[in-house]
Amino acid sequence: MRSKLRGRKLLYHYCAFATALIGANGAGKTTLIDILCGVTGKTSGEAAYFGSLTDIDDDSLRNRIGYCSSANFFPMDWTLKTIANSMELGFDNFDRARFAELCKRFKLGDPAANKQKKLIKLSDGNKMRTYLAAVLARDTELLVLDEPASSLDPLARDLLCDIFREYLSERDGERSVLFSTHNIADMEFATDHAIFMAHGQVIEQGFVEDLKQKYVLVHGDGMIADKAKPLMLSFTGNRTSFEGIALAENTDMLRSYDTAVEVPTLQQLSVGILRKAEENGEK
Amino acid sequence: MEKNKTSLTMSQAVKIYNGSSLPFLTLQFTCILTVMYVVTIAFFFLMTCAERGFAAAREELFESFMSNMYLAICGGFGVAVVSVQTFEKKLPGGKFFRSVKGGFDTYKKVRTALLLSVIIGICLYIGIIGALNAVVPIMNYGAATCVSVAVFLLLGVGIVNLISVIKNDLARTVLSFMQMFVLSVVGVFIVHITKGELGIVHIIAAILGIVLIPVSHKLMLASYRKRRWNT
Repeated sequence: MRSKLRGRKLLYHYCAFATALIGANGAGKTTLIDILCGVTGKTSGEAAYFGSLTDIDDDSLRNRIGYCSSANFFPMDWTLKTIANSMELGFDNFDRARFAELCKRFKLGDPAANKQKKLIKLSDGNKMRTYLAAVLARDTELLVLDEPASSLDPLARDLLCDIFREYLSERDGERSVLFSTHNIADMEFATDHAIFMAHGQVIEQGFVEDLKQKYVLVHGDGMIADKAKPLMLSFTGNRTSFEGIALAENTDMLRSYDTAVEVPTLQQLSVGILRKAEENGEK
Repeated sequence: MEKNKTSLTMSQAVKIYNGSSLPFLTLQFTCILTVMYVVTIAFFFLMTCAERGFAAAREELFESFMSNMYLAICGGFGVAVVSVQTFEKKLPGGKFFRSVKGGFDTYKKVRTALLLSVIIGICLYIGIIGALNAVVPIMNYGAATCVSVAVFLLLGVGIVNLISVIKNDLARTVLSFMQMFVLSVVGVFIVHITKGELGIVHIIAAILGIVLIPVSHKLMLASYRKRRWNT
């Protein structure tokens, strides 16, 4: 892998699930995605796909992976029609009819229309919708998307979650989605599995439900913060109150200090885990 | 295992990268250069005509090598613009191009197609202006200038390929434009000096161009793959 990514082996073999790649800016999410999709070459390490395939330059493997980056994925002077023409030649499994249908669903217009807007004239959100329509119009087995939700409005994010679900259910457990995101709250509904990254390393991974059992959200009065702090993985607070993430195994002890212990949301879990990683990095 | 070899034709590869076919691209290149030349020459001619009359305009523009010079500069500019296109990963479309069928093999086909397109386009452009000159004399030593400019532009294509191994974008672009300008002007001046005679210099330049174009193209592709394709 590139020098930015190091350390642990990342084993991702969860078919039929949507996995979120979560990390702060510069954690190595985009680098990892680019390496997986053959956009950036790896300097060391190994990536194996669908069991035993390792050569991302192999067209049969490329055709099985649907990849889309977050910004400027296509040249800015292209229209829906140009994209369809290019995608049709660039991949064996691009479906024009499906593209037209997705464009309609994303309210982008008709790719067969004579007069079309160039990408440069579209808003960032509509550009992203266009990229998504193009990649989803391919019959792939793995979707790898770099920050697909970053420029989408809440409604479009909701639609994206629905589309992920449809994509996963269409082939009855044969498909998977891997996407990086900073919009954890909006994408939680679509996330089954999460991989947390910091400083080029995977620092935590697991099914969201399992992680919610492994960690708890703790908050309480500022007076008891000193007692609770040693048991917590991440901690923020002031004189009046505090909040943070702790391991679920410490729940009884934390409750005995009169703290409130709750099941965290993925967003709260992410903040806690990433904050802890940041603190460790600073040390 | 099938690796990096696709059944895509050069024209299909160009369509993936540019959205248009190879013949269309060549035609577009030729038309842009030709229109640029004709419109500019017509504009200067009409301006001078309005100011100082037909005879003065004719003398200033056509007998002074100005139209010859413009033929060369226009062509040089066109070659440089197409040649500095490198489809970098950081530019719009860069990541898409790296993810399509064939990967680098497709890129190689696109670059080769663009090279052919430039060579054919330059020959067509010079040919059209040469034919125009045969009907309405607009250049001094028209036929010789056309041959000379074509030879030096083709040599320039080879040198631009060599320059493209330079990693610094700004240096590569500036050098490409500068050398195209210098070579095309040299092409015109040689004809001026020899009073319309084509000689040994042209033969050497033509041989150099023929040898340099494929060699430098291979070098350029090898360097691009190693240093820029997926770093």
